[in-house]
Order: sequence, then structure tokens, then C-alpha cells
Amino acid sequence: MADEALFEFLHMEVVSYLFKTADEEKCIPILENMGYRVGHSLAERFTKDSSRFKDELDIMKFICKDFWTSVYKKQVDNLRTNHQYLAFPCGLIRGALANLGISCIVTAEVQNMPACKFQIMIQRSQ
Amino acid sequence: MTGQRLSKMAVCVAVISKENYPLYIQTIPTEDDLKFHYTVHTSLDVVEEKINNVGKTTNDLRELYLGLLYPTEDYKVYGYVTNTKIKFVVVVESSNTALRDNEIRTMFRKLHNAYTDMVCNPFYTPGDRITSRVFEKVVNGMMLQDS
Amino acid sequence: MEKAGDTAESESVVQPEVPPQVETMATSWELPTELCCRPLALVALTGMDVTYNAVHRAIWDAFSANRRADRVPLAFRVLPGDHEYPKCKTKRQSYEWYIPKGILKTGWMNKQLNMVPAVVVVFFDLDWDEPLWREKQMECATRVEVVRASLQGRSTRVAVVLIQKNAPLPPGEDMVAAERAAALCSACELSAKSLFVLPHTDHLLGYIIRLENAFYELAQNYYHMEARRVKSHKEFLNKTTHQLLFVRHQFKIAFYNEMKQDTHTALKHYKQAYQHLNEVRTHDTNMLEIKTVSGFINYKICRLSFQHNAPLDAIAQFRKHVDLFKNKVGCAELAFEHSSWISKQFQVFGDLFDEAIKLGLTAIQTQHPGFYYQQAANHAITRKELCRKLCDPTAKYPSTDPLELAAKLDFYGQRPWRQGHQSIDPPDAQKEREGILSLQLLELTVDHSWIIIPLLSSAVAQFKKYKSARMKRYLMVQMGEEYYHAKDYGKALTLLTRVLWDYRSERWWALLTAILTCALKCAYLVANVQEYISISLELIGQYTLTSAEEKTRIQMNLIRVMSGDPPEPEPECVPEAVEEAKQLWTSDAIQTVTQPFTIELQNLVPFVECKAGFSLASNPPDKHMVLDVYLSVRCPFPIRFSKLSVLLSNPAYNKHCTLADSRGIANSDAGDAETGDLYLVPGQVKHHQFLLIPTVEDVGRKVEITSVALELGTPGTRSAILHWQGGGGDAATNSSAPRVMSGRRREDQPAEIDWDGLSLYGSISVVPRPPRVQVQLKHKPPALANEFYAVELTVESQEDDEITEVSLHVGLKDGQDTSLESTTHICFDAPTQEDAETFIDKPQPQAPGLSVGSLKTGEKVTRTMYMRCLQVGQRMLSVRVVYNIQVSIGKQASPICCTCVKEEIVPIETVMPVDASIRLKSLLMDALEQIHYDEPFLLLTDISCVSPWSIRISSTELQLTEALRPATGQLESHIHKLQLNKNDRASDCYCLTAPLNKIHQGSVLMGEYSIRWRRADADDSIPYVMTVLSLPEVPIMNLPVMVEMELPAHGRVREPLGITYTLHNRTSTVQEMEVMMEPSEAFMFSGHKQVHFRLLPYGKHILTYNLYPLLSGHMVLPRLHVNMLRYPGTTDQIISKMMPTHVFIMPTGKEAMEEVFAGS
Repeated sequence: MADEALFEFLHMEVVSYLFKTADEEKCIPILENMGYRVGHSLAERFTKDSSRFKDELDIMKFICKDFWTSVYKKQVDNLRTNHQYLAFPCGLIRGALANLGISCIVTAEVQNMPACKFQIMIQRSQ
Repeated sequence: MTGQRLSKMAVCVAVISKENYPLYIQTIPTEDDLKFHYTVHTSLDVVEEKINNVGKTTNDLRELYLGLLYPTEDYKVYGYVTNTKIKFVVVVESSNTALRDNEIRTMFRKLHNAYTDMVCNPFYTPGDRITSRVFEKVVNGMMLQDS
Repeated sequence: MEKAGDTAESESVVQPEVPPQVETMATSWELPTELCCRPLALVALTGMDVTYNAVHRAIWDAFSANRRADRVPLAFRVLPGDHEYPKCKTKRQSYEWYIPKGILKTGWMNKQLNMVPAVVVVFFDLDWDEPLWREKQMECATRVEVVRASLQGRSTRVAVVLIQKNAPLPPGEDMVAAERAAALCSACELSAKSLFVLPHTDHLLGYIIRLENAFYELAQNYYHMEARRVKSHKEFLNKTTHQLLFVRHQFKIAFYNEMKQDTHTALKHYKQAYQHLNEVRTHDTNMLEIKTVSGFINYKICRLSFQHNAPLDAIAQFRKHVDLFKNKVGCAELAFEHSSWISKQFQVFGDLFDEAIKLGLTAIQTQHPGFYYQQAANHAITRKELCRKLCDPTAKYPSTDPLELAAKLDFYGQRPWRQGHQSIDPPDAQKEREGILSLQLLELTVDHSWIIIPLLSSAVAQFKKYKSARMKRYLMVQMGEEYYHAKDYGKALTLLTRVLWDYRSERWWALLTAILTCALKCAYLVANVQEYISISLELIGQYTLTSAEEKTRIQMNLIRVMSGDPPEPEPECVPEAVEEAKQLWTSDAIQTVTQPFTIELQNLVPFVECKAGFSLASNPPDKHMVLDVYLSVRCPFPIRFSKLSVLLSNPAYNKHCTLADSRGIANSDAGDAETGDLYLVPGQVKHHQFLLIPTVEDVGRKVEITSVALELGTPGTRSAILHWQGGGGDAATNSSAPRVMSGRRREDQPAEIDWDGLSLYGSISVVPRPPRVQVQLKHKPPALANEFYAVELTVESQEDDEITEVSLHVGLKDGQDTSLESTTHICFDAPTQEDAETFIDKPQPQAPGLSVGSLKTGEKVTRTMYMRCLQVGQRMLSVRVVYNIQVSIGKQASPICCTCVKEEIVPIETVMPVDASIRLKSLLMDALEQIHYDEPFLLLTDISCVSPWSIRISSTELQLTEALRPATGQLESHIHKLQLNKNDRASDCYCLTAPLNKIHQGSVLMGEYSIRWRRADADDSIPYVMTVLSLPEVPIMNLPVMVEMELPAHGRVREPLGITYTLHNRTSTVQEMEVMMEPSEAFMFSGHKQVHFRLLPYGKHILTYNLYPLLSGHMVLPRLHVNMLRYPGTTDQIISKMMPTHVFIMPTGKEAMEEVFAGS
């Protein structure tokens, strides 16, 4: 669909623009923060019609199912496997979870090419 | 609380942050809007109790709409909590019998939609006071107007 | 939610004190006690003298004292026999022309409860055997008659109790009693059921309980009849003129039923009464009466509903009640009266609800008495406001008091100046006006705050109980405000400041501002300087929503106060209070306080913010620690502070972290170089930097900022120390609400310093100065187990100056396996031969430090250390060089002494030098698995070198246990002064025997084998070490027989060859022996072919054979079979191993030799 393509192109452009204009080490945090802000908003929008989450498990299920499908249409292989492309989705997950009350650190790694593993470490405050 | 007013409307609409500070409070023009601030603030006691009990009691509250928080002699206070722990509080006059549960529910849905749109505005910083005019317009549409 | 500490203390403040003069006007809607009590059936006891007659006294006590809950609900009165009961009105025959004057008569309930008994009991001392029976009977009848006469027209029951000295006989046995009882009943016109006998014997209470149960039954019957009587009037009434009577009658029926203890029926009739009352048309004239009575009936309905465990019914009834009446204000000039009435309704319902909870009802967060008390308080507040609006304090009280009869009304809820009047318009307009005016003036005497505060206090207790902390706080604010109105400013201030924290931490700035504004007034009025300053600090800050002008005014006042002057009064204060306050502010008590006030800022949202911290997380001791302090104010106009000090965890630095500005709070001069500048301009961040020299004792420790203090005002006159815990932060920055991530800069912020972006370290670690020496290690790994392993250490100074007190510390690195520590010995002393043998018992994993003096730039020093490892494995060796050096920091003149440490960690592997094993062989070189006593065997030791380095063995030695000894001569090692390279082997051979002088069980220990060795290339100074190997255990056996064979070294063909076999018995028993010589192709022989003989204990037998060789070469000898009858089948095999099996036979002469060779 067209909107998917738009998102793809926009994302690619953002990444390449940043890497052209900013310092290498600043790019990742900037992308991550952009993802955070988008994830934060999307969490607001996508949970609007779901029933109340009972616990963390409910939230993680939501992130893995509804949220991810809505953003990436299940085509997870579409993800670029370069790490700079993963900063945004990492932030996306972190932002969505933060808005739902779970603070965490999200890292991604690519071991076998089409698959990408996101690791979410939940920080227990207090 | 006399005076003829358009019915079916709220007298106070509030949006409260995750951390329980006000993001937005709109009241009908009154001398004592502080009273509404207190009404909204104290209603958080009930909101908190209700969401803390989610998953603990058998009659689970899985709906975002919390229903009537508590009635006072003059006002009825209704609550709604999003999954992101943003609270909406709507106060209507007790004498207002035209507003039934369904109308209140619709009101909250509208409010939630407007809030979501507002949050998705990239120029808004989550956690800041809400100053969006579009949002304000939606809220004004729910408030009592002098007839 | 709730701040700890606030709870326990707040109790005392929340509980209002009883005001000095409580002026409660007995308003007509106040619930009378006879309405609120539980109605009990009234029983009059007559004919008793409870003062002088001990028996009567005892009876009365049994009735009245300590009535437990299981006794029947009755109220007893002792009355004289001739007591006048209220006269019964003549019964109305028709209601046709009757117009009721009111709803409920004020005296009626009291009359039923306390004056008209259901039962009158006549007590009379009379025994059945009374001699003057007739006279007594007459007297009793007279007394009954007197009572009856007084009760004329009433259906009150009369009963007679005879007090008797004797215990009664069983029924039917006392004929006299039966007869006289019947006579007495007849004389008194009494039914037999109403005559009772009370013997005052041992079981008085038991009799009394039976008696009162009988009275209870009579009473119930009475009230039942009364209710029916009232009900019977209904048919005479008509709906238009007698509406009030419908209410009254239903109320009466209900009340009688209550007295009868039939509460369900009572509730039904109260509801009907309420219903009828609602049908009455209300107008200003009768409004008060209707509200009053409806309040009474509502009270009864709610109370009974709670009692019937139907709280929802009670709540619904109350809701309905309030909804029905809340807009029925009645006379507008007396609107406060309406609020007072509603307030009372709520309060009473709250009390009923609370009472029900105490009796076991469960309430919830959204439905509990607190809400009703809160509403009661709200209406009381409305009442106060209406009073202020409606009542004119300057008006004159009417000359004739319209309220004269207020305490003596005939009907509940009527106006005293027009009692009994029921028409719509008041009968006398002038009187009406005067009445209203007098009520207004009366209202002005009411101190409303003392009605409101206790109600709020009750509500606070309830909301606290039902987990509503915010509501509780709100009510406390209201209480504070009410105390303010009541002019108790001190208490108001205490209450308000108590709740501030929660509004601050939850960031409800609008509410915080409102509370602070009120609190500031209180602080001004009581001249509480500290609170005044503290509140002002917040009100002029960035978070409060006070207007800019207000902020300016408050800041000006703050500057006045800090300069020692009184502030301007706060607006909207009562003038008298302001006058008092002015006195207070100039009083000595306040003016002479020169002690600075300390204000903790982390609990406030002050106008001044601070960020203090170090720019680095760690710092070496030879560099300045940089401490930055940033200050920013958000007040309306600039302000000058007098002193800034940063306190650190090591107070030694504190004197270097202060800055004073002595120009005065209002001075606006620009800073000069002489004194510090603490003039803060709103929106401009002020930056101060302190450079600190680390102290020696802080090396390896952390220096932390414990607090920052900023002084405002003039020290010595009046000053406040604003105190931040740690490096700054206030209630807003510390609150749970995070400052949202935003890259935005505050708009009022000049570009140079981004306040939010400031990031500092709250503490700094003083780390040791990095060392500048080089350490080199020379050694030949791996180390060999047990050897003295030499490591050569070379230290070279690369410092620019001389280093002193250089010392070497060598040892195993901490935290390794403890088994490594117990098997490692490290020292700097060259080992002696003696060391090689002694110190293995007490290894030393850390060598004592070795001082090597001073080193100049580029100078080197070399030392050798020795390490002896008893066990193989990898060890981490730590080599540390510690030294001192003098350094100077910046321009400072005197240099300071720094200690530097250089550490090298070296892994060292230890391996075995040799691998040694042993073998056992028989003299025939067969491998042995066991040895026999007295039978010699061979021990072979094999040493193989497994070390990568060649080793030199100086000697080896075998030490035997007493079980073994050399078979011949001395033990002599053949391995000595031998060098073994990698994989070389060396073997030694010993011939040993186990003598039979001691019998061992199963196996014997053989002893030890030791090797003295060192590295082949070792320096001569390194001694040989001895590595000792334990020899294994070997199984040992005793044979019952031993055979020795004597045989020449060789024989010759056709030349006789003599051999002997000696058989030894090795047992203590006689042994039967069977010997058989096997024929052989190579030999002919003479001697016993087969023989049978006995061997005596430890004896021997010699067999002699002559062999005649037939063939030459290495020939098999004829085999001797030995069989012992005691050990059948086993002996022969063992013995065959003891004897040679072959012999070499030489041919005879040359041909014979040739034949042999040709044949081979």
C-alpha cells in the first residue's frame, strides 16, 4: 500500500539525512529519540480502543501483536538490517512502553540476516 | 446553581497527567473555579482506587470508562482513564438528568480522540499543559453555555 | 499518598477544641431526645418504699440496676400509689368541624415515653397466711381502686404483685393460697393473670425476670391496642381538611409500634406518615413546620432501615428527602434557616450511618458518613454566608420579643408568634416582620465557624478511613480557611502549611497558590516570620499562579522583612486583626530575634533555584577539583543574597566554598572585584566556580556535596538561610513527575547557559595520582612444583623528580582460590638449603614489603623474588611499586606529597617437574600383583622428566617401612648426579623382601621415594629441593608351603644331574603332602615318582632326584606336582611359579655339540 511505502521512504530519508548532517555518534540518539516520541504517540492512538491492560504481560502482548502489525504490517523482513536503521524502531518500542508505564532499555541485534532480535530490559524502579 | 442553562452539557472538563497533575482544566465561567479544581483533584482518590484494583478483584474493570466516581449534592463526577494512565474527569450538575451514562461515555470517547490527536502533534511535548485550540474547541463543545 | 509523619500529628490539629462559649440556639428542627432515643414500654411500679424499706429497695434494684441486653426492653418508674397520671381527654365523637392546628404536638412523645404507663403494678406485702387477711385484702383492693381512678379513660393495664416472705408451695398444694388468691382477684376486680406473687427469698432476680416478662407481654398488648385505637379514627378523617391528622395518626401508630418493639410495622407507618406529609401543600407559613416534622420522620425511617440492615433503603430515603426539600427554602429572608436545616439533616444522617458502621456495617470509598458530614459542613458554610448577606447587625431588636414563646411551642416547627395558624398568609404582617427580624438578629449571635469546623473534622476522619487522602486534604484546607474566618490564624496557618506539601508534590499549582495566599495572610496576622518568609519564597516563584503585581508586592514585603522592617498588611484582612498584627511585627519579641531562620528548600518550590556540582566524576590529587554553582531566580525583580556556601562531606573544604556579598538585600550596584557578587537578576543564570585542592586523606575516597546554603537578609539583624540538601533541587524537580524530555530552551533564558542542560556530578572521587614508573619482570615460566622459582624485578623511575620511600610488594593477587594461597610461598630472601626442607609447613602468599629507598629520574633498581608453589595451577602474581613524590598544584607555593601506586599482574603457571611410577617384579622378572612373605621381589622406580626445562637430580633415596627390608645388603640408589632433559627417563631397581616376623592384614605400605633436584641451569645459590613420592600399598600373602629347588647351572647329556627339592611347612599344623614327578622326554630320572608324606609344623622335607639328560639344549625340566590335602587344587599352581622350569643341557663332546646346533 502507498502509505507503507511513504513511511519506508521517509524513514530512509531521515536516516540518510541525519548521517549526512550530524556527527556519527549523535545520530543514533537522535533517531532513538525520534522513535521514542513516535512510539509514545502511537501507543496513545493504538490503545485508544483496546480494553484496559491488566498487567505487563498484557502490555507486551499488545506491543508484539497489535502495535507491531500496525507499524510494520507484519513484514518484519522489511526492516533494514543496518544498525542505524534499528535505532528508530528501538526508540519506537521504548517510547510506547514508557507511555504505558514500563520504563525499559531496548537494544536490537541482527544475527541471521532477515531476522532481527529486539531485547527489552525492563527497569524496575523502586 | 440556578439560572437556565443549555442542558446535556458538562460544567467542568479536566485532563490529568500520569503523575496526577493537571494538563488541562476548563470550567464554566464562574467566580469559584477553584472549587472545580478541588472537585477534580479529590476525585483522583476514587480514580486511583479503581485502577489500583484492576486485576485484583473479580469484577474486573476492563473498560477505560470508570463510570460515576461519586455524587455530591450538586455535581456528579465521572472518570475515564486511558491505558497510558491519562485521566479524564467530567463534572456535570446533579440536576442534569438529561445526561445518561451513554451520553457521558460518548463525551469521554470524543475527549479521548481529541487528546490522542493533540498528543500526535509533533509540536506538543508530552506532559506539558495542553494549549491546543482544536482540543479546546472540542472541550468547549461539551461545556455548558449560557442560554 | 500520605506523607509519613503528617498522620499522627494531624490528629491533634484536626480535632477542634470546644469553643469558649458555645451558643447553640435550640432551633425547632433540632431533633428532640425523645425522638432519638429507643422507645421503651413504660411500666409504673407503685406501692414500694425504695428509700426506707430494704426489701423494696432490693426489688427495685433487681428491676433497674445493670439491665443487660438480654432483658426485655422496658422502662420502669417508681411512682406513689396515688400518683396522678395525665388526664385522658374526652374522646372526640366527630371530626366534622375539627381543624387541626399543627402536625405533631411537642409534648406527645414525651408523654408516651415518660408519663403514661402501659402497665401500673401495685406492690403489696401480703403472705397467704396473713392473720389479718380480710383487712389486708380490703387495703389492697383500695389501692388498686385508687390507681384505676387516676387512669380513668385509659386502657393502661393494672397488675398486683404480692411481696411474700415465704417461698411458695408447688402449684395445687397450697389450698389456702388458691382460695385467697381467687378472693383477692375478685375483691380487686382483677383477672387471675394479673395477680403475681413475689417471694423475696434467695432467687429474687429470677423471680423479677419472670415478672418483667409478664409485664412486657401486658405492655405489648397495651401498645397494640393504642395503635389500633388511633387507626380507628381514620374513617372519620377527610383528605381535604385533615391532611395534617393523617400524618399525625400515622406517626402515632408508628411510635406505638416502636414502643411495642415491632419496628417493621413502625417503619411501615413512618413511611406512610412521610408520604402523607409530602401531600401537604407547602407555603412559606407552614414550610418550617413541614420540614421540621419531615426531618423527624425521615430520621426515624433511616434509623430503622439501618437497624433492619437495609443501608441502601436508608440512603435512598435520605436522598429522596434531600431532593424533595433542598429547593424549598421557604421565607427568603430566613434562607440561612433552610441551610441550617439541611446541614442538620446531613449531619444527623452521617451520625446514623456512622453508628451503623460501628455496629458492623461495611462502608466503601464512595459511600460513607464522610460525604454527609462534608455536605453538612458545606451547608453550614452556606448558612454562614447567607447570614452575612441577610442579617443586618445594626437593626434593632423588636420591643416585644416575638420569640418569647420559642421554648414553649405546642407544635413542632411552628413560629412562636403565630402558633396554630395554618392559613397561607401570616395573620399579622407587622408581627411577621418583627419575627423575621428577631430571628435574623438571633442568627447573628451564632458563631458559625464552631459549627462548621467540627463537621469538617468528622468528615476528615471519615475520608482518611476510606482511603481518600486528597479529599481529606481538601477538607483540611477548608478547616484552615474556617479557622481563618474564626480569626484563629495560628491554627489556620498550622493546618494550611501541613497540606501544602502534597499539593506541591502533585503539582496542582492553582490550588497551591490559593492555599499559600491564605497562609501568607495568616503568617502576617500572627507575625510568624519564618513562615512568612517561606511562603513568600514560593509565592514569588515560577510555579504559583499569582499575578505579576501580586508577586511584586510580595517580593517588596519580603525585602522589608529581610531588612528588619515590618511588611505591609496583606489585603482583605479584618482591620482589627491588622492592627494587632502591626503591633506584633514591631514588638520586641520579633525585633530582637537575630538568629537566622533555616528554610529547607527541597520541600518547597522557591523562586530561587540552584545547581551545584563537580564538572568531573573523578580527580587526581595533584589537580584542582572544580566545583560549579549555578543560581537562578524567577521573582519579579532582582534580589541580592548575602552569602553562598557549599558544604562538602569533608568539612575541611567548606571554608574555601563560601562567597559573601555584604552590599545589602536592596542594593543594585554592579559587582566589584573586592567582595563576591550575589545579585541575581531574574532570567539570568549566575555561575560561581570554586577550585579545591584535594586533601591527602581523601585519596581513594569520595567528596560529596551535602548541602548548599544561600543566605538572604542581613546577618546579625534578620536573615534566612535557604538550604538545599545535596546540590540543589526543590519539590518540583524532585517530584515523581519527570521533567519531560524536551530539547527546548526556556524562552526567558538567555542563550549562554541552558539551565535544563546543566549536568553536574554530586560527588567526586579523588583517585590516586597515576604512577610514572616502569616495572619489568624477568623469569622462566612455567614454574616447577616445589622449586624456588626466581623472578627478577626491575623498577625504573620515569618521574621528573626524585621518588622516595619506594617499596616493592609482591604477593598473590587477592581473591584467588584459597588452596592456592596455602600452597604458595613468596619471599625476597634467597633460599638456603635449610629453607628447602623446613618452611613448607607455613607458606606465605604475600612477601613482606621490601623497601628500596629513593630513585632519581631514570634510575633503575633490580631485586629478585622467589616463589615456591607446592601445587600445580595458575596463580596471579601481583607486583606493586609504592612511592611518594612531591607535587605542586597550580601556583600554590608549598608542594604536597602524593603517594603513587603502580601495579602489575602476572599470571604464572606451575607444572610438575617429573612423573614417577613404580613396578614390582618377581626374581623371574614376572610382573607381580602381590608379594609373599620371605619371598624376595624386585621394586623398579621409573622417573620421567615432564618439565620443559632440564632438571638435575642430585640423588634419589628409598625409605622403606618396617614391613620390608632389602633382600641382600644395603639399599643403594643408582640415580645420582643425573641430568634429565624433557621426556628423558631414569629407572632404579631394588631387591626387597617382606620378612615373616610380623603378619600384616591384606597389604603393606612400602615407604617413600624421594628425589633431590633443581633446574639444570639454576644458579648455584638455589638449593636442591626434595620431592617425595609415596609408594603405593601392595597386597601381601602368606603361603602354607614353600619349595626351594637346588639345581646346577647346567647339565650335560648323559651325565647325571642331581637336584633337590626342599619343602617347608609354613603353618603351625601338620600337613599331608602328595608329590608326583611328571615324566619327561628329555630326562630319565631316579627318585620318588609319587610319594605321600607328612610335614610337621614349620618342618621340612627334602626330596632328592637324579636326572639323566637325554637331549641337549634349553630343556624343560620334569615337573614336580605338589598337592596339599588341606588346600586341594590350589597349591600346585602357586608352587610351580616358584621353581625354574628349564635347564640348559650341553651336548657331550664335539659331535654332541654339533648335534645340538644342527638340531636347533
